[in-house]
Amino acid sequence: MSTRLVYVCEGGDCTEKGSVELFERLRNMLHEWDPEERRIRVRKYPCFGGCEFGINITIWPDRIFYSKVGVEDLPDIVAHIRGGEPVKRLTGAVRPDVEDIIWQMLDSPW
Amino acid sequence: MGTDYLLTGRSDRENLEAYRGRGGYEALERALAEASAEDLLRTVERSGLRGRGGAGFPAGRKWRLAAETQAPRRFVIANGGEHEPGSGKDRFLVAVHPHAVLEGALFACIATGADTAYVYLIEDMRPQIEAVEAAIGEAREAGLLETANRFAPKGFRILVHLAPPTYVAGEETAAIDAIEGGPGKPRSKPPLPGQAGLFGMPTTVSNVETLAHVAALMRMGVEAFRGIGTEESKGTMLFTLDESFVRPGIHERPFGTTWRELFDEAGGGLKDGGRVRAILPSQSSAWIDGSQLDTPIAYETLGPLGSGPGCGGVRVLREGEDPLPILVEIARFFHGSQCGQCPPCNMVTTQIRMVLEGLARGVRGDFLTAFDRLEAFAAGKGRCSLMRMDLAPTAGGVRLFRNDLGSPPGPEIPETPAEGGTPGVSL
Repeated sequence: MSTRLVYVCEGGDCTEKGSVELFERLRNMLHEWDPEERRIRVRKYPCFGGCEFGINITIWPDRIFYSKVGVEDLPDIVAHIRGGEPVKRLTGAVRPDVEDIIWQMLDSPW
Repeated sequence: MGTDYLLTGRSDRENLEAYRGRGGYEALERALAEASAEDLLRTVERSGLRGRGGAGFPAGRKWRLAAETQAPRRFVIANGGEHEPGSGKDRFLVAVHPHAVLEGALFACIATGADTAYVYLIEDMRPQIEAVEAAIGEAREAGLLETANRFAPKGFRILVHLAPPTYVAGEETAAIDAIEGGPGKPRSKPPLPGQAGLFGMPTTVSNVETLAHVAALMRMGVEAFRGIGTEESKGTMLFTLDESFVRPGIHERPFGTTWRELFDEAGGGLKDGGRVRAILPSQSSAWIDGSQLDTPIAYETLGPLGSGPGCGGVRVLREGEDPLPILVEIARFFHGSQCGQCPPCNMVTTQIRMVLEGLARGVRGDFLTAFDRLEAFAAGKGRCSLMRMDLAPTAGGVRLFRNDLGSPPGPEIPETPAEGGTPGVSL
């Protein structure tokens, strides 16, 4: 399986809600499992347009869009990434058209 | 030339005496003595005057909305919050002809039933602030302000309000927000400013150039005004030409002037003798192909091309010039200018910038589809139109210049019929 990507939104709202710290924590947790980033990489993303539901995180190419994520949710998200089930309570908050356009952009080379 | 009525050729401030010397305030004094608000509203409606802030909304319709909304008080805002890159016409007009703006604002007060007008400027506009304050002082001394009249028991008041130096602060609801003491960010519409604007009262927000046209319209009469311009675009318009022209600066031309006439006769042609490949009527308009140089500038002629006159801050792409740096610059400007209130705008302006910067880095992909989807997504969203103002030049640009931007899938756009590519015109 090719490398998956986790994007953490670093737009203004998400940053205010603590996305920088959340990014660091998530990356550290995933590094414990995959120190060389062969299976998963954590990256920042400028803005997902779901600001009122931040902090937003996406997992590509799985097409999982997690919203209202707090540090307390990270163990469940890491469990999902390591092969578990998606965390249902964190999905479905943003409008479908916002999700669609984000997948379009993440699927493209930009 | 010949039909100019806003500009007089001077570049220093026109004082009250000079303005009166060319008939200034005569129509206002007549109106104060004998006209009704309805007379003035009908004149503005019949004139066909459209707003000169960029959107081109009929001024009469805007004014009537405020006039007919029941309220204890109404306001006028003369919007000089010009922050469009490439446009300097509002700055020029306010600095040189402040009385024309004030007279237009007073007509708006009479017509809509307001007693107070705000001249809304940006805080870094020092010469304009000084010019307007000096003109207000002269008008007050002459009894045109703060003197009881048939329409305002205590007379009209004109106040200067200074806005923060941001792009969005020039949007009409942002102007209202700023004057109320807010950060100068757009508000949701409805209600329209004419329904519930400043302090909840019906408010007419008109661009300063629009108001100067009203003053001229009242001076010359509606029939004379309607005789200038085209069927659906009446009067003259101020254009800003940049330093690439032999005669850069602010030029007044009637609607119906062609791009070629504007560039050649007003601008003196391009300094380097280059040929025009494409025209951007203003930074928030769509590009027009250089094959349209002989198209008259008017709402009804540029609309079918997917563009419009905008605010007249014109930019051209020369033959042989790479369009991508310009598109990236525009995308960066709008991304940096969005105010952060609307998540879709934050995301769309980010994506536009990412795609164009990616193209500039040599990333290849289906950029046309990406822009199609961004346009569909942006439709109807956001408190103001900033997303769509960004998409107009960028999405339109990638389509027009698609053959310069890599190898997208889909058929190539055929070149306009001329050997060797798009026909430019020697300027």
